[in-house]
Amino acid sequence: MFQPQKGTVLSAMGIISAGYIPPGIAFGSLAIALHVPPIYVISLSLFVYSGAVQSAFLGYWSYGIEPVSMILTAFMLNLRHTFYGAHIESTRENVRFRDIISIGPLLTDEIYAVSISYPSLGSRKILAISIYAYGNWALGTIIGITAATYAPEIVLSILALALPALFLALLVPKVKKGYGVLTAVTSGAIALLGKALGLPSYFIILPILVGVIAGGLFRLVFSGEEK
Amino acid sequence: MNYTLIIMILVLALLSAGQRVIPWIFYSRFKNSENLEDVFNLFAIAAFSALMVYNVQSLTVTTLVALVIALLFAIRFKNVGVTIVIALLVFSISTFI
Repeated sequence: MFQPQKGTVLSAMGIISAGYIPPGIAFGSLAIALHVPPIYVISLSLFVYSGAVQSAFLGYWSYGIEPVSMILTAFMLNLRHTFYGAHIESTRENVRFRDIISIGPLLTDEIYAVSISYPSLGSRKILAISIYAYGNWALGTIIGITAATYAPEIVLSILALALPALFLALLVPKVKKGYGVLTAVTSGAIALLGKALGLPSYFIILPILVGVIAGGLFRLVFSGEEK
Repeated sequence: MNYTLIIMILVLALLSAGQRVIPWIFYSRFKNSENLEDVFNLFAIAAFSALMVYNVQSLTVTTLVALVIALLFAIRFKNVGVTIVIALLVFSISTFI
């Protein structure tokens, strides 16, 4: 296997910074706008370290955390991570147990994408980029917290729209095929109905499950045409 | 100190780390990873869609216009930062007008 050039690592770091600092700022400032105490905001970024789960946490925070729904949602949001390590390992030789233990906890969507896009990157370089990404995420969160703490009330009320916009931004790149569209529309429509009827927070698990079932069935029935 | 919140963050942290590391250790059981990616994506799509709807504070024409324009930018650029900035920009302009 050839050695990765310095440019490969630098471009990977560029991708990481572009992908981590702006959403980190958005998360930090949004959490403050939603009156989450800063210590919990930074704890989420340092310990949970998952943009999707942290965003879901804010979503639940804004209308009341219901632990079972929150944990189930986090579990489902993280399900995609289960194959990342396996896929990375399948593109490389000599991935050791200690690589799995060190890179694994820091394995995010972006690290996975970079690792798959640059197969020449060895485990040590992936670990270095993973630590760099972790630092970027923490830095973005701190910048966001600081900016929002000193922002006037009108700005914070405008920032409330950032949360649905964040979910929209996370959603769009994942919808690549017909069954993805059906999943999003089904889930969104049932959630809208639940919101209109004023159903309690744990109801949110229903649109998620129905959306997955609808999309899964569509995928199963029309898998030939979709591929 | 809100101990419920601390426990919740700890559980989420363990869940996030566990779901990344444990399946990788049992790599041999996950052969068809591309197929799994599609399935797991469905969970993310459904969750983001439901959470997006639930977190719109008030469904007004202004909010809707801001989100539709943000959607167009999200489709075009597929960038989280750009999408949020556009949504906030449109919403701010209409709020101040």
